[in-house]
Amino acid sequence: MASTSFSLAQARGRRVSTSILVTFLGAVSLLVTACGGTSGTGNTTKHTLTAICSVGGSYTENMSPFSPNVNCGVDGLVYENLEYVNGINGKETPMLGTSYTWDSTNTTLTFKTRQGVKWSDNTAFSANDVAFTFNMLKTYPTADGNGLWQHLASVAATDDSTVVFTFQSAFPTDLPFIEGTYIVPQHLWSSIGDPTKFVNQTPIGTGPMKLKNFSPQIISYVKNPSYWQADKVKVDELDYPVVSSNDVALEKMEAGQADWTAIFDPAVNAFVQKDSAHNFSYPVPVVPAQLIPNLKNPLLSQLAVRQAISQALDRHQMSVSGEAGFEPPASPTGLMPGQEAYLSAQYNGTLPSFGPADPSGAETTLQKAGFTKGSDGIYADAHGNKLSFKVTVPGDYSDYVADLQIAQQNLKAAGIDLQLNKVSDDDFRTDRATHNFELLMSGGFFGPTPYYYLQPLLSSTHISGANATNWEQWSDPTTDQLLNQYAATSDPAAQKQAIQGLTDIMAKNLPVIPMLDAVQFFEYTTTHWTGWPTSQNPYAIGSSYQLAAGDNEQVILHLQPAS
Amino acid sequence: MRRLIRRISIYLLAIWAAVTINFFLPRLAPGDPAKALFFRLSQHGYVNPALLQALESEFGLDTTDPLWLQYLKYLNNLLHGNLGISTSAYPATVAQVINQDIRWTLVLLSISVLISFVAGTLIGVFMAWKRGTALDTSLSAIMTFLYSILYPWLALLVVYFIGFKAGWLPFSDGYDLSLTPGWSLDFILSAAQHAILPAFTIVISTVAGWMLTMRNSMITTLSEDYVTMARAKGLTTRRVMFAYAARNAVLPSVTGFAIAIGSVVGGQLLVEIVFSYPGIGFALYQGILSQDYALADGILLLVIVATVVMNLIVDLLYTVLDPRTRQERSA
Repeated sequence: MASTSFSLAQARGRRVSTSILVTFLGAVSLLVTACGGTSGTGNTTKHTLTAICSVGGSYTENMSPFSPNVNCGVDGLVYENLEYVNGINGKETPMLGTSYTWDSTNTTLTFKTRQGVKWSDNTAFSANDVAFTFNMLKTYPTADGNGLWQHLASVAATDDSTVVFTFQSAFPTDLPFIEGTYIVPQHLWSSIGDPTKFVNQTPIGTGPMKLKNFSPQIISYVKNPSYWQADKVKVDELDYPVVSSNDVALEKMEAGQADWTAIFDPAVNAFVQKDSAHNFSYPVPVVPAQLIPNLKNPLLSQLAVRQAISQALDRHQMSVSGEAGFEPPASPTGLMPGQEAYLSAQYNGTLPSFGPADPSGAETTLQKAGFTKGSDGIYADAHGNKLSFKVTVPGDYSDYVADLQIAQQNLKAAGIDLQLNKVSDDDFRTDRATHNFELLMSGGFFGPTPYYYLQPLLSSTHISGANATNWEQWSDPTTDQLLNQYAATSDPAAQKQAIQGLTDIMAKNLPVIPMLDAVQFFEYTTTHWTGWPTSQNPYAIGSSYQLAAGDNEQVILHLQPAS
Repeated sequence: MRRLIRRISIYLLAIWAAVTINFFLPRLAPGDPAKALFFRLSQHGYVNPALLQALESEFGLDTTDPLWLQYLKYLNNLLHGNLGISTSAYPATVAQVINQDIRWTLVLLSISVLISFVAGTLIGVFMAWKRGTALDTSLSAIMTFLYSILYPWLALLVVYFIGFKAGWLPFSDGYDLSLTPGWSLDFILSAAQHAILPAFTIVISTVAGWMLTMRNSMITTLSEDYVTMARAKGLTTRRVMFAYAARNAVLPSVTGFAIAIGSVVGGQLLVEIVFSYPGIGFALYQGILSQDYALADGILLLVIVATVVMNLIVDLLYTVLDPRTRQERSA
């Protein structure tokens, strides 16, 4: 749900899809927009930032941070959370909260809140607003997207700048969700009813921007003069125009009519090349795109088969030709660049990588495990069960389809048959959650530490039920014990140790087969604004869309008008 | 009067049939909409089961009612103008989403379809009158050419040469986005200016169809005895051309016009994408892409109702244009 800052969402959740029709029409709009529009930002002393946060039709008015379809700019720019947590390196920046402490049993969390902060209607902010927001989530479970009240017992402000969270039992892993929840004003929200249905036409927040004007074609914000760090905000106006296709978005960027976006399109490379002094792309890896084996399948449940598949894959070619170079090959540990601190000592602080495609090595692995090659070139076990699998993929994820076509060739060279089963997005998600597949290509969840990727993927508690996210059905007591070890403590050293154990399991037992590092896309130009996050200074995930809302606020605080 | 009631009841029957198909078709299709909705939401993280239940009941997916009762409830909702809630724009209703986009579509398309129809029909009348002349032959060739041009290609040429190269007119967005929509003169002028190129391409690509239909129908009519008779009586050319020949020849075109106007509410996806123009076509496209069945259903229903209503109006118009239809025997 949209109510956490770094949102433990799947990397592929809101990507701009490249469906067949869009691809067909893409050629059309490319020409159209090669010309630039007529409406532009004026060259006055007012500094306007233009961002494209979604590609699609008209906006509908949803200015509540608890709405499932909240508009861009509401989270993070109008409403703030307690702490910003950097999704790349886990670094925390205090926002409305200034500090927090856990008690020795990890059941009570005490937050100090910032003093001197005002809502944009000039009412003072206090810890009571924080307590109110969390208690509202208790009253309206539909808004409690992270299910905090399954673990919380009470939330109360003990004075104007202290709020105490009491848990039913130790639950330190809920911290990022509490830090990420957007805080709303009690004096305006106490009587609005269900916050998921509240349109909130005049949003009043504590953040750097406030709403200027909503229209279905453009949402405009202006600087909030009473913001508590107003001196850091150089953006006088922030506009989010509606854009109908990726090509229009990139052309607006090239024409200087937009400064900031987050789209996946092979044309991004051309966009950067056209003016490499001003146009940049900095996609941030967040979670592996992986081949998920159904471990209830008698063949895929054998480690040798999973190893052979992994050995045969040419991840480099997938990265270069399937993903236009945006998504690098994954690490067998499932960790992302920036998470090296969680590596066990054997790796010396360098993320291990898979070797190059090794079809003969894969064949050796299979032969050692007792598989023999049939006359059709496909291996089979002693009972004649052939290594022939169907891989399920959303048909409109054109990059995934391209990756899997490469995998098909790779596996064929190693004597394994792979068939693509292209399905609709809806069917994909349903099949995935109900384990109705042989192999499946999918991203995963992610958060400030690798735990938030590994726990949904590997915990045996997530195999069945409404929120089944252990799609491969990995059930292993050691894994569960390590996950519990992490969750039971707020001691970083003990947590790190648990993650090391888990990544060793990932690399050794291949519960899933990591292929590429899925990224959050991020494109920007320095024509009007500088100070964007870069790989040298990754102070935030740059992506302009809603998923990275808490990051958006950090970007706004760092931007400077280009001289 | 009896005839009118009969026509109206036939059209009501048509709407009922369409609505019924609209209700049963998604329910016959494989898949569980409740599950699909749930997994779509869980794409963004953990979903509280409470949210699922709330959404299910809002979208009417949690019901244990038998199908016939669901159907009656659906009809009842429609009668009260309740098209349901859009999943992709929740908590906005389908009616709100449609209302937001449809004005752009209605204004742009009804004006361009009307211009195209009137111009095409008039040209057709003159061409048939002057049939066989150099004017007729050359215009026919040009029109046949225009008729066969693929719309996206034409639109791209217009955008590239008139909009981009020459820079005469804006070619993207519905208005200058720095203006605030409203009844201000600046906004109206800007909106009108932004509509010129899309409207022009629609007119160019459809005018030939009207013209060719009218010309052919007119030529047949011109050989009728009553036209010869009118001429023999010494009536003015104008009167023969319009009151005798064109009035009878226009009937097939009027039917076509009704269908064209009816389908206007469905929008023009290609126009909207090429010109990045706001409209209902894109909303329908997005609704389908994001599996927002309520939204797609709502727009399709609107198209059906508009088409039926336009046909009814044309039926009434027929009785004015063609006295024979006023007699029971031709109905």
